[in-house]
Amino acid sequence: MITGADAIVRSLENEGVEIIFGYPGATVCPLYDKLSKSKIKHILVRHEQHAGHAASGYARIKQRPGVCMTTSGPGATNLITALGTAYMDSIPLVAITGQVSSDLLGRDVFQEADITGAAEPFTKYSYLVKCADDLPRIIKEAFHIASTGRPGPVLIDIPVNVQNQKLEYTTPGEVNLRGYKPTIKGHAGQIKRICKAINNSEKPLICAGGGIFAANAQKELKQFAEMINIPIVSTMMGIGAVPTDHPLYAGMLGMHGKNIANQAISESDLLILIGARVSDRAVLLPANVGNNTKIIHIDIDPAEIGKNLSTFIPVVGDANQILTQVMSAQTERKSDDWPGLLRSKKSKIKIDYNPRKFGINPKGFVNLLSGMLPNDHIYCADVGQNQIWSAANCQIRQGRFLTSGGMGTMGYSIPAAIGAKLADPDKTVVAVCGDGAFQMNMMELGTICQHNVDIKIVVMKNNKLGLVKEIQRNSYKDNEIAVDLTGSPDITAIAKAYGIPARSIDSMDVAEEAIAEMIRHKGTYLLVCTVDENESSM
Amino acid sequence: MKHVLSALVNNTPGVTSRVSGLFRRRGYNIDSFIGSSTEDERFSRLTIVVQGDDIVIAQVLSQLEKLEDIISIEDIRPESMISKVLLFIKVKAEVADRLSIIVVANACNARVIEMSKDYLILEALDTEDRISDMIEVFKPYGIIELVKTGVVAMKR
Repeated sequence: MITGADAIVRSLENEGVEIIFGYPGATVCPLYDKLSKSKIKHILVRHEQHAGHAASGYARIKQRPGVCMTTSGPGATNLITALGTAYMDSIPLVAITGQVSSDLLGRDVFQEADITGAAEPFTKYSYLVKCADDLPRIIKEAFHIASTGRPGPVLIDIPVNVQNQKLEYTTPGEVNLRGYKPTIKGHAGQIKRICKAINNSEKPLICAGGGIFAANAQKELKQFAEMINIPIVSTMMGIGAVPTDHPLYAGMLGMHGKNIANQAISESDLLILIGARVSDRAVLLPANVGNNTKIIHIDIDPAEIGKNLSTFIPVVGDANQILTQVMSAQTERKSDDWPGLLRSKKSKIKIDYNPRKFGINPKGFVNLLSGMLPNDHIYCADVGQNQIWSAANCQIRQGRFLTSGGMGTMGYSIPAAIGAKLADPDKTVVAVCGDGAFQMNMMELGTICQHNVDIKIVVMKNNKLGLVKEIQRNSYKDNEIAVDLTGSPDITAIAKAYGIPARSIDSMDVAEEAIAEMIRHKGTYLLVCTVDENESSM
Repeated sequence: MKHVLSALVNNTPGVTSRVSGLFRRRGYNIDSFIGSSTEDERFSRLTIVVQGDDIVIAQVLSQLEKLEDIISIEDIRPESMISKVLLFIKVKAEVADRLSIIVVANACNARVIEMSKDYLILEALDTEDRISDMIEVFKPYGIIELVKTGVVAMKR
């Protein structure tokens, strides 16, 4: 007989878990006690929300569920934003929360929160474990649900008495959930229709979303696009699905995207959406999609198809699988001037990368930064103007672009970068955030130091909540309210207080040299870039 | 112990989830949950059957009473209510068994509502206990599928 806590640790080991991001408390003490005897590494974060974000960054790079763990009550509720963030971006997480003893449930005892109830809209599934015997099965199911189909966060709430209960551990068999059988392979008839539609189209266009990464289909997407010579645009979550310098790539679409990408959408006669939700931010108005545009929508989640745009050919399945199916079917379309036309239009666009009288040029800076970083670097963008500057201007060649695309959660970048670095220590990981977001996650500098995580941090500092200020300027007659960050600390001094080398620059003249110094430095480095408060995001 | 709760609630979205959420918080499984419109379109009637400790149920009841959307709620005692469950049951019916099934059905006040060469569909309206007994009676013939409503109850 072993205890429930033992069973949890053993089950996590069986799932191949190597790292848990967490924050302890009274109701997870039995679990922490047993965890200390396991090979699983625990990363103590400085706020529960960041345990979830770090697990998200880890999951996105490792291609398997990230695991986070917190105590009951406030520990659990602090995790909700991270669960929501992961849910909106379809990131696989397994979140374990402690809970008060099951016989006290519902009595509002100390640190009790109905977390399965509170997190219900933000989880793919959740469990409240009532008997230790169920633990091995539930944990196996949780990993299965989180990582298959459309990935997402799964919550396991475990009362402290269940962690102490004794059970006879038996390895659970294959997961077989009635009613949960995600479709992987595309319907053969629909594949034929796709091929026919492509052959008959004049201006086909691929729109790649985050689903490409979930399906690990970057290679297939590139092959497919090259094979039939189709240009590609991406959503924010799809940035890096093909290298941003690929000749067929026209850029990110949407409210903050490249004009050329939006133009391509309205001109194309066949839009192939792959693993993209095309939410309001991606396609401002359905009218932006040309009237004559036929839409092929490939998604693993049937509920996404037709949700935001009416679809000509819906195909449910895994993007990787479907692309492979389409490629092995007969498609005859080859060359025409449509991709060339977009390419020449794109080459004529001049982006303003000029130096400024005051401060750096943020667009030019992120372009330079990502250009100087190794080809396979991981770029974590926060939320606000910095996200838009980054998304539209950074170069993702073989690496990844991680950001909170759906929820737009400020404070995502640094914890996500920590998770990403721990998932792949050989990669250079950079977190780019504004001074607003930095002050939401700067306590994680402690985590970075404690666990020797080597990430590069860039803080765009304008002493404002820039994106909100911009909205106020454009839509509220410049009535600037509650966006002034006066009172902020000297960020380089904060970094230095943690023993992290830091530097502040306020001109493009020194940008290249400062970036080089940051890259050269072994270990975490923080670079503050002064930005004029009137820089616009577009 | 089994409790039958009858609640008059506002007819608005989200009420069922708020009510059922209070039971979930206690880790209680609801046996049956019926909601339907009433003679007054502003209100719905919920009839909830749940197993649980008397003291805890009483406490959940007072928490339910606090909900804005609940007009009134009552734990109805078995002796002071009439209650019924509706059952549809699809029973395997080979030629040899058919007659015997129909006889049994008549004996327990169930009606044949559909026939095919392989099965019969029966309908019965009775108290929960009698419906449970009836299901046992039909088991030997082979039950293909069954569906029943939860308990609907009214105070005498």
